[in-house]
Order: sequence, then structure tokens, then C-alpha cells
Amino acid sequence: MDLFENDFFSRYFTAAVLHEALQIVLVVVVGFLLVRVVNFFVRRTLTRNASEQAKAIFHKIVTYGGWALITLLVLSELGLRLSALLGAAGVVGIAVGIASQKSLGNIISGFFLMSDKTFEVGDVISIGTKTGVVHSLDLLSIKLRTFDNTLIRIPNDSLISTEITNITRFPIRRMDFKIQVAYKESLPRVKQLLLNAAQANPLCLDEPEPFFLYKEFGASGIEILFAVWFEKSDYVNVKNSVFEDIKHSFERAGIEIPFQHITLYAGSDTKPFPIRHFGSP
Amino acid sequence: MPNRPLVLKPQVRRHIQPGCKTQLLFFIPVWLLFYSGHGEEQNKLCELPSEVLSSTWFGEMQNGELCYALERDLLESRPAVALSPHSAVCTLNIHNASNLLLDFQRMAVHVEHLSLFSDGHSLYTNEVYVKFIGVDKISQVKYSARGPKWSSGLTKLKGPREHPTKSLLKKSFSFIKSLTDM
Repeated sequence: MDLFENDFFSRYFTAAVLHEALQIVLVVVVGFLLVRVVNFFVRRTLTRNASEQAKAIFHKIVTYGGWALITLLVLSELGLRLSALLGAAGVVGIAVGIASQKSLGNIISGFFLMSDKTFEVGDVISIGTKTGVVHSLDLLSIKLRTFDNTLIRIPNDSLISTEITNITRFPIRRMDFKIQVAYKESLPRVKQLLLNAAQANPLCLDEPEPFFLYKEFGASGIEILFAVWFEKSDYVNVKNSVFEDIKHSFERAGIEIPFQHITLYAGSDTKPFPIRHFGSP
Repeated sequence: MPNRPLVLKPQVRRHIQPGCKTQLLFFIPVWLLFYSGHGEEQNKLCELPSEVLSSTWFGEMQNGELCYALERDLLESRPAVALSPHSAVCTLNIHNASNLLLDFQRMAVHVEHLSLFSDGHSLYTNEVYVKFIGVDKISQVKYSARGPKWSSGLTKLKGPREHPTKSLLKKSFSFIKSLTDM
């Protein structure tokens, strides 16, 4: 047994093989350290002011590129001819490229979107009928987390040609309220009531000042656009509190908010529909 | 001190001549901190404002900052009447180093850099020094380490929420035109 083992070791673990194995281990260790060092410098210098997504993509490029290079070096150490390997890889690459045109389109679109900086992770955006928080920007797609906690995946390719609204791009926003008041009401009084309501609400910003506009003489009343500025994170609180404030201040002041009435017409000229109450049987 | 900067709007407009210095006093409503426990085992429960101030925006739409609006009368000398126990007196020293008349319409005061002092009767903050060098230029703002010079026997009640840098550059003055033009 000992003889067999000695023979086995002397046949396969020669000085040359050990030397080669040591070289491979050295290439892997040094390569691993180099990838980490390059990543560190890229993060500290090139992408210091870049978005989180750009940093993540640069990190992936450096890591995957570095490991690809290390693999090639290891294969070279093992005696494989790299020219033949790269030739084969080129052929495979063309085949894969043709088969995955759509995916490549998504990747390229992803780079355009990233350089465009229309939105970042954490922004609230609207795409078509979908609205949500940007959960992640990946190479092939972006993922939106909707407010009812579902995840939507949208391919980068389709985003390039779609209108995107970034709702939280700027720190403050304006919220519009379309209000109707009856024709009989005093308009300066209505205006003052609305401005007072906004001033009394601590969530509404003093500056920029609330916006007030008489829109038009509507079918049921005078249409008014009243808008208040608020900090973007207060959307729900501002919407609810200003809504309540307007209704309460109108109720207190006796201002009528007109609403549509439905009159059931029985078809007998203009006489009202006859109603007769019968006692219970 | 409040948890956001204050935009101070004088009830009566002030004008400061070029090259002149002026000292103005105003009151800042303090915030109440509630703790549980004693000594090192203290845990902050919550903080509440003694006066609810409305919010306002200071600066450009894209990169301004969220502040509280504080519309107050500015005093030129130490108030003779008893001070409110819920307000701290802040002393503002303004130097108009420009060659323009300074029309003081509003100013952002970074109260997060202010400490709170007491002389046993009233509350005070450290003094603020502002050097105005021109419209739409960055004013130089400094915060003194101590309370107002004209008050004696002060004890420090609370340090600032954020420590200011030695010479803090802040865009302090804003003009109504720059906001309304947006």
C-alpha cells in the first residue's frame, strides 16, 4: 500500500506540477486582492458622486471583468491555448448575441437610463398607469414597489420610449384642489377662507404661497383652483388635512358646495312624480 | 431649539445702511424634551414644540431647505418687560459689508447650531454674527460660544443639536423677488 501511494504521489505530484499549482494559487490570490483594490479605488474616486445604482454597476463590471481575466490566466497556466479559447468564445458570443438581442437592448437601454438620471432607487415614479417606489435598477429591468406592496418589473427597453414622471424628484410639491362654490357666494370671502385654512395648517408651506385661481363659470357653480405647497413626504397628511380644513371652514361660514342633483322624470310634462304614502297593510 | 432652521421675517421691515452694523433681538419658541430615568440611564421619550410654527421653504425650488416660519418683531435693545418662559432671546449681529442698502425681509437662522442658556429668569441663545456682502452672495455666519454679552451669570442648559464649523458659510438672506420670480 505504501509503495502504491509513494508511486502515486511521485507520478502526479512532481516538482513541476507543484510549481504550477503554486503559480495558479498565486494568480488567484493576487488577482482576488487586485480586484478588491481596484473596486476600492473606483468606489473612492471615480464613483464618489455617482448614484448608488451607478456604483453597483461599476462594482459588478470591475468584479466580473477581474474574475474573467483571472480565469483566463489560470487556464493559460494550465496549458490551454488562449487563442483557440477566445476564438471559440467569439463564435459562442455571436451565437448568444443573436439569440439575446432583446436582452442586449435592455442592457444598453439600462446604461442610457442610468446616464439620463431621470430617477434613482427610492424615487416615486409614474410610468403609464403604474406608480410606485423604484425598488431596484438592474441591468435588464427596473423594479417598482407599488403602494399596495406589489412588485412590478418593467424592461429597460420599454422605458426608453415611455413617458416617465418622477414625483419625488424635487423636495417640495404643489397639491391642487378643484373646488366649486355656489353662484350666490361672495368670491373674495371664499378666497380668504381658503387662504386662512392653508395658513392655519402647519403642513402647508408659507412660501411658496398658496395659489388661487378662478377657473370658470361651471354648470353648477364657480370653479376654483386652490393649490398649496408642501414637503414631498407629507403628501397623504396634507391631502387629508387640507381636505378636512376646507370642508370645515366652508361649513362654519355657510358656504355652499354645489353638487349634482338627479331628478327622476316620469314623462308627464313637467309635473313632479306623484308620490302617495299608503299605511302599512 | 427647534429641529429645523427658522426663516425670520420681521414684522416691520428693517434697512441697514452700507458699512453699518446693527444688533437685533428676537424670540425663539423653545422645544420641550421629555426624558425618562435619571443620570446616565436617561432615555429621551419625545420632544414637543412650545409653539407650533408653520413650515416654509427657503431657497431655490430644487435645492432649498425646509424651515419653520417665524414672523416676529425685532428689538433693538434688551426687553424691559418680563420674558416668556417658553421663548429664548437670540441676539443677531448683522454687518452690512456690501455697498448696497440691506433690505432685511427675511433670514434663515440655523437654530440647530444654537445653545440654550439661562440666567435664572429668562432663556437665551448664543449670539449670531452675520456678515452680508451682497445680494445672492453667500453671507458669512458665525455663532459665538457664549450667551449674549449684555447678560451675566448665565448657565448652559443645552448644547446645540449640531455643532457649527468655525466659519460657516450659509446663504442667509433671501429676497422676495427671487422666490416670486420662480
